[in-house]
Amino acid sequence: MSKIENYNSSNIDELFQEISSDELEKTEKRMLLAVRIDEGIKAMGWKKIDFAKALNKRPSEISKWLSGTHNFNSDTLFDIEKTLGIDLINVDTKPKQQTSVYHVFVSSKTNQDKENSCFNYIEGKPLISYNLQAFK
Amino acid sequence: MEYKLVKLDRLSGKSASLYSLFVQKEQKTLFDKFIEENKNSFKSELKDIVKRLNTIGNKIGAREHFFKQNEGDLGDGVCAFYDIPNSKLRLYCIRYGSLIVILGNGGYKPKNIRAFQEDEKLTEENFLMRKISAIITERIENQEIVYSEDYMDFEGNLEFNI
Repeated sequence: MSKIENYNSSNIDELFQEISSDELEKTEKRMLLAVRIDEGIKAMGWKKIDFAKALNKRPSEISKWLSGTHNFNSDTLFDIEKTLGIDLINVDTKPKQQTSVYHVFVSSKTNQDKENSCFNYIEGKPLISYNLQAFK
Repeated sequence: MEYKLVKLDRLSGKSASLYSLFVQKEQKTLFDKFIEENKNSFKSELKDIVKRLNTIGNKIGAREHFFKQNEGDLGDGVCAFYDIPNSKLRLYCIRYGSLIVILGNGGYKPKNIRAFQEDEKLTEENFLMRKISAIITERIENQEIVYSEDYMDFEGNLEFNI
């Protein structure tokens, strides 16, 4: 069976020379957004017309949303999120908790007096204390 | 006119194969002609089309909702690639699931017409895609054209004389 021949188009190459990586990324994200919405509609067991009714929009407007060309405003995205029960915009204001990991290396026992010991005394008897080096 | 199905190297990737028809007499594809005929007046629309086709081929696949369906005969897969809002640059395609798309030619659809049949150029390009689709369907039925093992490509008799 004959296999398909690969073809290199100089016309396509010329257009790509005028397209930045940022533009490509923006296009990709816009299309991925459309995919998320389409999958959200399917997860509800709906067709486009059901989704349109739920949002009080015309089916033609939904088609434009899903085309991968639409530039959404935030209000529309919030409405879609709420209707489909999906996340499209993450606006969590809580700062992420930062966890620092310390590796504690115990080097040797010491016989430190009370003032220098980092450990408490219990009933007047010193605890065995250790030199500790902490590495982050 | 003799045509040969070819794979557009720059746009095809792991998510979809994008083909066009190489016109033997003119030594270029229908998609090349689409670009050349429209680059003076619609450069930004062409760039948008190419960006989206690139995403389809390399990242997402040819999902149905990226195309305006039912632009041909019933069930023949002829569709139009959605144009950006307020643009009426129409690109006719034949879509075979989300893995293979054949890009044809098209043109400007003026705002004062409601259907492509009102424009001679669009009608010509649309009907060419319908003919190609019909021939491919027939060849698939009699196994002159088959899918590759991964369903990403066609193999077999990929030349057409229309």
